[in-house]
Amino acid sequence: MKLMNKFGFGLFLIFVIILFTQNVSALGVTPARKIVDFEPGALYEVEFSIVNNEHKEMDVAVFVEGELADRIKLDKNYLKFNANEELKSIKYTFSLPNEMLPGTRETKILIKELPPSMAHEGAIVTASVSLTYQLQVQVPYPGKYATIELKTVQTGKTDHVSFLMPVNNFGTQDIVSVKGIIDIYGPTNEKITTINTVGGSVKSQERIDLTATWIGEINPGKYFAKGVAIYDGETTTEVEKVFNVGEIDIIILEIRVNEDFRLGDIAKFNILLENKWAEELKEVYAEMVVYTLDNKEVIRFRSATEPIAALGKQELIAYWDTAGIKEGEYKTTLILHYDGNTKEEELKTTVSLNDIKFSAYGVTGQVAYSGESSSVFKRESTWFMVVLILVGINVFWFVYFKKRKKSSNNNNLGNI
Amino acid sequence: MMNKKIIGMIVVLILIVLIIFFVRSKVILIKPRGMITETKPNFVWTGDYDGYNLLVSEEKNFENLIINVKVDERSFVSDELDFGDYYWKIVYNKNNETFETNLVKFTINSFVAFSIGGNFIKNVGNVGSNLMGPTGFVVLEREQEIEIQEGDYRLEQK
Repeated sequence: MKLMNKFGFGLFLIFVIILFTQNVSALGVTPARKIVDFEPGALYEVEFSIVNNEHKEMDVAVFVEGELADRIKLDKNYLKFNANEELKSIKYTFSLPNEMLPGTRETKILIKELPPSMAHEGAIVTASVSLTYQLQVQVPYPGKYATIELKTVQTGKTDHVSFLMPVNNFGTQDIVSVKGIIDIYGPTNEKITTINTVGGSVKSQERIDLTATWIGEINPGKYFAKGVAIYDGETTTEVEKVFNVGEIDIIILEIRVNEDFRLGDIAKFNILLENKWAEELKEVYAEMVVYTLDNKEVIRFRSATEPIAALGKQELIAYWDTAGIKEGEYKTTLILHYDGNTKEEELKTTVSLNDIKFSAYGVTGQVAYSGESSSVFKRESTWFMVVLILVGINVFWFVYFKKRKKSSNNNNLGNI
Repeated sequence: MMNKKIIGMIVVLILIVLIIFFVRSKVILIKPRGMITETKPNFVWTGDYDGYNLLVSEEKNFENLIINVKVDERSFVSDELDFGDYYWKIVYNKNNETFETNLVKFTINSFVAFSIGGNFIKNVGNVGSNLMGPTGFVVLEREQEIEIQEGDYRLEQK
């Protein structure tokens, strides 16, 4: 016993030592980057915030390095955070010189937590991490120079995908003709198609948004696009974009119970699922929660975890020990877990001596949703109830005061 | 005297009911607004209509849309958006007429942040970042954690 106590105390001591020797540190900066277009002699005042994301007391130093370091004036070089302070702002001003070399010219503002006055003696690591806030000045290139971005428009539809390709002309000359080319790849990296954007022209230091649409019956899933723009004989650097079409979805096709099932035995369920997403779902399992009709949980069990191929089907196996379960009607919530998402289905369940049926299934095996349209109904009925209660209160007051008035009249008559 | 009280109460009740119906019928844009660091913003609004059209653009005139989606509920979680300024509004139908709300601006800011526990540094910001250390540099993606050694490090937006 004594030995156990000593052992326990030793473990506690080790835990305390580890706890106190951990060098916990945390810091954030937002926004982490400011981009300005070069304008000779222009003046700027900019603000950013330092975030104390671990809510601890700390001292922070701020200093500048880089091309414009001499021109940047910080409103403070030192910040003191209390544990309850999450965010502090820093303002800085700067003026741009009359000339700068072309390209993206960067100046850095470094943010560093100062070591506490009582140093962490015996700390495991004495690493120190500074954060960098980047001030970037875009200085025009001589001639024509374009960069692009690639964006998709979220529509929730699967019959088309719209692309937006903003083209920035960072050159000193106007671009007469620019056009984008977008290659689209599927989830397994196979090239599906190439589409072209509309064409256009863009003046020096200006931007144009080129658009393109990919039309077709597109399977919901994650896709990948590569884009370039061709302008006056030049080609931009390639950009990439991962985008989703539709939403991850998985449907239940069928739930079968073993044919030789007898009530009191262990029921084996084969749950057939279909992945409607054009990408493999790596970790899929079903959880079943059976309730009595008055909502008392009877049992909760889950299937093994299986992957389901892109647009594929997969059976999950789950077991329910029905010992002590009575014949009759139950309610089952079937929760599908897939790659961090969940989807729930409510099923009417009939348990008989030699079968378990889920009556919400139609001939096709498709689950009949009961909750889809009910949200509107629920909302409406809530408001209806509120109005009904208000009307009820109104009527009650009316009757109450009427009666009171009547009785006071009677009393007055009695007094007479 | 009593009649006046009753009439007063009825008037108050009618006003309450009218206010409730007014708030129900009004579409108010709740969030996002102002500066945010969430790159998959959750758009939330009020209203009591059967369907809404959520429009999001980088331009005030909504010339090119980033989101153009029909939503039955009063919220929508976007896919990943780039950093920058956005405007959003809701278009809805009332008595076969189309109405739209005022537009609301929000800005998605990059957020570079780390936390160190023991020998490990974790990127807790909303953007992949370059971690430069004594032996070179690595890209630390969102939520990624790596072991570090003694020395001075710098973390910046990649």
